[in-house]
Amino acid sequence: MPSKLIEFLKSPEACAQRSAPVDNWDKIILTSRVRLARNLDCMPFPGRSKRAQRVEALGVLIPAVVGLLPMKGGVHETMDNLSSIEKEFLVERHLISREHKARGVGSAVALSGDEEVSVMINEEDHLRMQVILPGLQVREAWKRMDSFDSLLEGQVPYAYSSKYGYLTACPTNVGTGIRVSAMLHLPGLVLADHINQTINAANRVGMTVRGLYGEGTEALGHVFQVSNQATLGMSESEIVEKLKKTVLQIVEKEEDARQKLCETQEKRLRDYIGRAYGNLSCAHVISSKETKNHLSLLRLGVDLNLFPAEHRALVDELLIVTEPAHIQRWAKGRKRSGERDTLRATILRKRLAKVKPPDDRKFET
Amino acid sequence: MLCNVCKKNEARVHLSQIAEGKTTRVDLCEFCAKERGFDEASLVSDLINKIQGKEAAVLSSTGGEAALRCRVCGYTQADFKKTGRLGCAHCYEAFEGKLKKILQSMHPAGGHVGKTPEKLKAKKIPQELEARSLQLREQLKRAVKREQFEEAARLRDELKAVGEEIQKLSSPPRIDDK
Repeated sequence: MPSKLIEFLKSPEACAQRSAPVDNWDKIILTSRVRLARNLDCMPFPGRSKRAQRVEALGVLIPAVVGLLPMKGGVHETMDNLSSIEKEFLVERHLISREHKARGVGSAVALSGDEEVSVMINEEDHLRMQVILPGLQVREAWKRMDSFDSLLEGQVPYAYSSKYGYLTACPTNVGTGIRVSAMLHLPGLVLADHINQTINAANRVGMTVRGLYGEGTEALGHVFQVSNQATLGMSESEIVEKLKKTVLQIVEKEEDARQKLCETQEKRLRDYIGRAYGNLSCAHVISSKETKNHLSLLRLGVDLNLFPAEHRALVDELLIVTEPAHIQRWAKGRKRSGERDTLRATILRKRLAKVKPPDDRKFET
Repeated sequence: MLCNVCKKNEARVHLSQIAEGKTTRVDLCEFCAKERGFDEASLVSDLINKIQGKEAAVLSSTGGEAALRCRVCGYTQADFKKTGRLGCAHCYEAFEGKLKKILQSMHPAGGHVGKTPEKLKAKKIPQELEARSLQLREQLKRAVKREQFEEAARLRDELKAVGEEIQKLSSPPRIDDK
């Protein structure tokens, strides 16, 4: 019996149906995210808490969180009521972290009705709250997160010191407790072999560049997460603006790289995109990693006008439905890796049957 | 070595506290130590606090081998070193000396300048107090330069009083104050 929380979630199709990109850079910037870490002032942090203390903290936090106006029409679930596939499903939707997946009794997740606000209770900190919005909307995400946090602050006492700000289990988060990030699709910089120097440049201005699922994960499908390193000594707005500035500089570099590839390596680029289409639409066994990398090139093909623009939503939907836990939910049961690879290929062949091969139209960057 | 409290008997209990990178030592005779409730290592911090009139959550062990422990959650410096995580909000006070360098490397820009919980905003340092502090500093510099030492001493005392007032307003709220 699937959890009510999983039943509640939007379909992958609805997730992919974003509003048309407002700006050109929205093609490259997939999502903007603001995360805050907060703790109760009267209890040990979750890592130091005994099971009974975590349950007690949960008893305080669940009603406080779900009672807030932005959470009206939302849903919540304790982690012990979710199966491992369901937890993985939430990771694939970027609604919980990989660390939270390992949690059970005494931890929970709560989502707003539109799934833009998600709150992890008793992860590394008592509260890990995030707002995720499509495209470049870091300011808007911070505005929403800030007002949500202020509402919650009226309900529960936060651990705070005027010297160190909001106190967190890990000193890397202390102060504002904020992590602002943007998910970027950077195939141009990867193909032009400029990605490492871009990452180094971002590091030099105090930004971290990680893979698709955050800390310690691989940059599959040429997707990178750029986020702030320091959380103390700068205001939240300063951090948001700095991240935005860095992201726009990376976007500019990605656009330049794409432009240069189109001009100097046209055949190579058409070949990559054509092979990606061929593999995805004809394969009978395909891994998750291979799928992500080919879908990334298909998305680049849409951006360069080799496929109709409406296919971008299809590519984004396929990126979600071909994830391991999504396949197992679709197949209504646990499947081994080999079985999943066959099911994935079936889904891809079926969904790409109506997509025509990339034509010889001129590149548009 | 004589006991710091009675100044008569030979000191046999030696305590040291490390805070903000500074080590403070207290040497006591057995009688004075017992009188202040020293019977096991877990009470060392309370004893140091009682003697020094401070409320720091820091403690160290006897016998010279220093080990920090948070008196609220019991987290030790070794736990922190092993996990890279702190045990509770009080650990920030308990390990303040050790944390200083770590925080500087992680957050080079310095102290907290971000959001403040609404209910604490009332405690914000009034602008006029900060302005007065700056003004006094400038006047003091000028007085010293002109060798007006009486005036400089007066200004120094006033600056100290303003500083204490600012310190009082900006000191971290304690969890057990509630």
